Amino acid sequence: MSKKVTFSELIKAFAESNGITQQKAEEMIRGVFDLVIDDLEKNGKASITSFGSFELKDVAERTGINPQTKEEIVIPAHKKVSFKPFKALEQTVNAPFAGLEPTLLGEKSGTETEETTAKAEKEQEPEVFEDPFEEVIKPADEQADEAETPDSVEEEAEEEQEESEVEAPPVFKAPEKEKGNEVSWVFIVLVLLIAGTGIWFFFLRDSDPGNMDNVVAGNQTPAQQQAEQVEKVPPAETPVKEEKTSEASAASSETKNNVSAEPAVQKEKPAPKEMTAYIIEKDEWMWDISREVYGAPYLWPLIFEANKTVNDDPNLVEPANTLMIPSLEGSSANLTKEDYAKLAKATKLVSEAYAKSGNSERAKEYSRFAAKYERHSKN
Amino acid sequence: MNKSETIKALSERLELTQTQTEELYNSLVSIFTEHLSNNNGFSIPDFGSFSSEIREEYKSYNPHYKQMMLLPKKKVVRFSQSSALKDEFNEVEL
Repeated sequence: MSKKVTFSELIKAFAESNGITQQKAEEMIRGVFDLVIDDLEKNGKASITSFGSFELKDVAERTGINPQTKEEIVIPAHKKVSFKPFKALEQTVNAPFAGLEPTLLGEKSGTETEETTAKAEKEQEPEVFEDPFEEVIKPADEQADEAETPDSVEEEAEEEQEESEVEAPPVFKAPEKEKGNEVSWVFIVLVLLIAGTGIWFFFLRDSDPGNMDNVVAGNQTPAQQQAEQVEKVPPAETPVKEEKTSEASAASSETKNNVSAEPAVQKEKPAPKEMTAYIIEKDEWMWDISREVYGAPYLWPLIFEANKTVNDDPNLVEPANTLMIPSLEGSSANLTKEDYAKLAKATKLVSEAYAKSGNSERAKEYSRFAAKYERHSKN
Repeated sequence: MNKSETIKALSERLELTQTQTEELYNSLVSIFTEHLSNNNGFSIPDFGSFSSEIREEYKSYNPHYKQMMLLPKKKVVRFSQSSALKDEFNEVEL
């Protein structure tokens, strides 16, 4: 999967993007790494700003086997340069998998591992086991239900969650199904807690510059839209896995309905870009995803545009990647002018990407599409 | 050596102003980052090579929760030093 870029290609790209001679470009790159070497010699460590740090490490003596002669040899103690990427680089590179979270496998707890909710779990042992299921993928129709009836009493939501609980590992069959109505105030507190931690988590994420915003928080309409779009899709092909989004909005609406204990700033914080996260299943291409999410496969350039960093070649998508799905203004059957403008831009990008990866026929095809969409956006 | 010192040293070497050098430096880093996030590895002569690869999900013990934990897939940057760099910091055996 991993390709190699030669040094001369690197120099060329660098020179072109900055309008300098290739000689200068090479000098620059070599200069940067010469300085790193100098620094390593002097201090034993060095760093390249917003890239990563290098450190000289001692490697102890060990015995190895010569693979050719099968002879045992002693590898003497030596020094080795190690590299550690900085957070910015790490996050940019890991962008396609940014939506994935570590999960606990133990018997006691569920799949939730965010620190905040884990803390909450400790405080309120039995009930909070629902929380994991907020994060767990739900069937599309259920999501639609939730989004349609945001005003529903939280007990309804609880019941829904408990339904999903039954399918889950038996550990989570908490006794509160019977308790449900009687101790509803407990639920109110609980839901608040969940919503609070959820919002806090998303808020933290939003403020993180390296992360793409994959969340629609505090804003109900995109989720509803999403849900409508999901409904259009025939049920046979709707294992739509939209993480968290409708959950988040549902949670925040619940907070509004119950008690407004959360600071208003967090609740009403508008999502900068209306995006939702989507985890690719195996052998699924953006075409299929677009059909599932929008109900129309030809809208996939929008997804491609939103995920430029995923891959250069539009034909290659890594399985289990998380994609950002931008939401539409209109619906897939009835696109607004702005949607068309967006689509035209995205299609142009696809065409460029195809041209880059050497698929000139496709590139032409998509540039024609782009022109068509552009006309639509003007009429 | 921090960034400004690096920029200063580089600008002397390249005979450019510090502003220009800083622009170049930032663009270089962003080119590196872009290549790595597009799965393109690259190598710097006499230094080493950078590449990105997908680390599969794995199980690990989390001492805080005292439980096993499933860590998800992640795309990570790898660096491997060139033999020239190795020789730089080690006495070369003849």
